[in-house]
Amino acid sequence: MTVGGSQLIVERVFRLSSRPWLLVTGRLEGDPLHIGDRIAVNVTGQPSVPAMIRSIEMHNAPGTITIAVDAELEAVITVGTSIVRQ
Amino acid sequence: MASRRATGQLAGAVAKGIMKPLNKLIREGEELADIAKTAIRKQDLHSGRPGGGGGLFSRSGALSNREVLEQGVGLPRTQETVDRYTQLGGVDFRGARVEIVEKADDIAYLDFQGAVARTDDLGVQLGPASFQDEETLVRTLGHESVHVRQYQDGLVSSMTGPLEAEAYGAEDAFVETWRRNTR
Repeated sequence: MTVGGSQLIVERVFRLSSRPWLLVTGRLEGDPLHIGDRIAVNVTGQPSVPAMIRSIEMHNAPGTITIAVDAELEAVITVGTSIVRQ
Repeated sequence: MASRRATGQLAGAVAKGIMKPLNKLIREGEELADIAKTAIRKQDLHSGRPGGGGGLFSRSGALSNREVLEQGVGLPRTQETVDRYTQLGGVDFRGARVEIVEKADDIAYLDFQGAVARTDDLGVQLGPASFQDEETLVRTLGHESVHVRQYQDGLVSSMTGPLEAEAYGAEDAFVETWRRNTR
């Protein structure tokens, strides 16, 4: 994690029937995240993929947060993926 | 030496004597469990996860979205029901769309999060567990309407604690309005 930054380690990934997003649940280290924050999805052995937080969930399982990102990221975000705020 | 019959009678009397206080304890234990379930349920209406956590949201004894769906219990899950209880509770969704969700992906998500409903910039999504009884629906509608305003006002971040506290704090007023309107 970068100093003063934020890192989310992905634990679960969901799709909802009527939302154009991927919902990504994980443990957050560092500063709080906000809707509109620019993030980078770290993919092993490849350049990180830039993205944006489209929404943040209010209701979460204990100790976790859930952010919404564009559904196209489904191919690169899996359990264990690291997402950092840029 | 006592006969077998006398021994049996004696054993029966002893067992009866032991069971009397035990039965009382069992009854009290069941009552305590019921009280605990009710208290947990009242604290955590937005949780669909039996025994789970969720900030909001663990509420042992209440039904999960999957349970409500599979058991076919609760209020009719229709827009008419939503409109009726929205009006009776004095809930204002400020023009946001309120949708009823029942698809497998939605149910799995809500139950994982321990939630009966969710809200975002696109509107409110009510899971089956929102409809398990009248008060739960009124509390859920009121609670999510607070989140609608929070999203519209740009207040939402991953620090959800104060936002959730505000939504929970508002619930009782919606319930009181609903009760007043149904007297």
